[in-house]
Amino acid sequence: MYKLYFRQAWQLMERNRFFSTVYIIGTGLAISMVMVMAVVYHIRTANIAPEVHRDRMCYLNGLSYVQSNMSRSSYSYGLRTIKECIYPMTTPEAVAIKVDPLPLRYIIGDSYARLQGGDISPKVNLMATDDGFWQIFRYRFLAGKPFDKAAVSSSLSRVVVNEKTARMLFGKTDVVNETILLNDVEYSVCGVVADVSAVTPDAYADVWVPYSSLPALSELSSIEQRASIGPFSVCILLRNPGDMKAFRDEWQRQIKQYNTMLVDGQLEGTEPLLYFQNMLYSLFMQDWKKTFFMLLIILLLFLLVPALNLSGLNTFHIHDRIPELGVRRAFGARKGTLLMQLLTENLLLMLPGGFAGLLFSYLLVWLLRGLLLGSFVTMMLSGGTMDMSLSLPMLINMQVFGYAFMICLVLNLLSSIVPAFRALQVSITDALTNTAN
Amino acid sequence: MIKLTNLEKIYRTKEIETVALENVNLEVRNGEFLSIMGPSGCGKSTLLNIMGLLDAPTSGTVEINGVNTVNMNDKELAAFRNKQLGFVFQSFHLINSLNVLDNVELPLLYRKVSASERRKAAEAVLEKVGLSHRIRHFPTQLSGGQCQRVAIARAIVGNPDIILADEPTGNLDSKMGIEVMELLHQLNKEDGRTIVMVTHNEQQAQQTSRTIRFFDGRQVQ
Repeated sequence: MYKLYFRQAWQLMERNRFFSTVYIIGTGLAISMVMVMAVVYHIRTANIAPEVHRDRMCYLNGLSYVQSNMSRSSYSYGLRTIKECIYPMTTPEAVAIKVDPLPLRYIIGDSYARLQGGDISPKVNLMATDDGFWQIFRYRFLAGKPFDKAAVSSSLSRVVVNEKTARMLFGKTDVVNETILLNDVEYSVCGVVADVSAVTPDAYADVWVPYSSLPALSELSSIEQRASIGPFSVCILLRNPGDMKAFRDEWQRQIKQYNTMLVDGQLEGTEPLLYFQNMLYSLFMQDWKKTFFMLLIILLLFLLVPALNLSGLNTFHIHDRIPELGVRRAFGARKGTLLMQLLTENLLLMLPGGFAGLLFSYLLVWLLRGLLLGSFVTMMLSGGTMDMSLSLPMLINMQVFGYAFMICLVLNLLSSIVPAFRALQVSITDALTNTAN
Repeated sequence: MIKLTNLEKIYRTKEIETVALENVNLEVRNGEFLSIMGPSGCGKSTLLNIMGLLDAPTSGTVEINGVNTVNMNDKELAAFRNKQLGFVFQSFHLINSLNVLDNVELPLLYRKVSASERRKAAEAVLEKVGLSHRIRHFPTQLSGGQCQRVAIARAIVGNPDIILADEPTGNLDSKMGIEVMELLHQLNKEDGRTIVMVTHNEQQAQQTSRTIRFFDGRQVQ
């Protein structure tokens, strides 16, 4: 039966070329707006290298130290809290701590890399992290390997550089064991990774060093407050996404126990967030549920407005087919069957539009990638130097096609169900004599 | 076969009430070829629509093959029409976006019949109406007579007991009209199908087994 629907839909498309063209273009434009959201959502939430574990990653961001006099200092995690509270946790598969390039810039200033005696000194995005980082994020190593636990615990000056920096400094990527000066401190290159796009913001940098190699980060203050809160964000890799509750419980226990050892104040942490929740939170720096609800409303509006326009086109188109519906009902078709037929045919007409819309949305995402995928603030702070390149697998994959199909399905329902339903309310005799209004 | 008892059909609007059929009592026997005549607007087509369960009477009963259809819901009526009734319309009502074969298969589409069986049955009836060489053509590529023969093939493909024809030759020239009438007589005599036909043509009515006449919504003969 569906084969027949397809044949008929094709015939109708051929017969009503003007309508079909307008409909496909209209659908394409309508869908492209929503598809932009879907593609951006995919790039921001799917497992994309090096952030290949986004589905089971969670974040510990904000931490406050509340003193006995109720004065509150809010920052992120400090080394003492991490060592006594976070590293010993048993629920996660892996734990990584890091200070991203932007916050690090506030602590140590801009970072520059150069060779001894070299005449070029490019500004680099420097990230300070630990060995756990390389377990959670999967980089493509062109040479060498990441720094290990021993390097971190011994505060060795090891560095992983990206391809761009390696080529800029050495003109090649095979530079393992070579020495570079990073802010005038000697570092030995232990690995070279393929360049990372800033659309994976948690993995993005040009140069990665053990946090322990930077005195500003590794010195454990004897002051309780300074040791407890600090600049580190914590990435957690759960064994599976369902472990979130167990992790949250363990985290609460750990903080509670840690607080019993504090003398001058108490720690209050913001709840751990899954990657998806953290991403929503970071969009507008407000409760992720509110952001999610707001995006849902925008998505519905983006769908509803074109759906109303397409609904008008459909009313006109389906009205022409009322006599046919009368004939079909005379020969035994049920209203439900015909409703399904009209929806199926409309969907078939919508799919080419959906495909065109998807291609158009790729173009829009590519053109507006800085605005859509980067944060305005980070772009401004980085002076627009962030690499926002998009790879084909980020855009062309089954998940995005799935979103496109779902959007077509919803738009199809929204735009054609009312006209189809109304057409089927016309009595058979009126339909056959074409006197329906 | 078809029994109409105290049938009334009244069309009501806010201002006006029009009586289309008044106290109609009629019985159509099995295998009969009945023609209904009368001037335009006398209620012939309304009667045929009610017999075909395309329209509901205001009052009275419609019994087909011993089944009272008055209280049937939309779903039951659709299934009943599909199995028991075949329609031939004056303006053919073929679906222009479907080819001849697909048009003829239409009633079988709403039964649990496989695609190959549908095709086989449609080809057989198209052979019967002499159009097996036109199965891939579209209605717009056929003459009026051929279109009506396709419509007849569609009406009989589901093997219904009753065929209801509303002025089947009304849009055809006399030669094609004769061909279509021959086909209907053949279906009546050879296959034993009951046929009820609305017509304005006295000559065609005389060829049928019985003629009834309507005037202003009432049966006058």
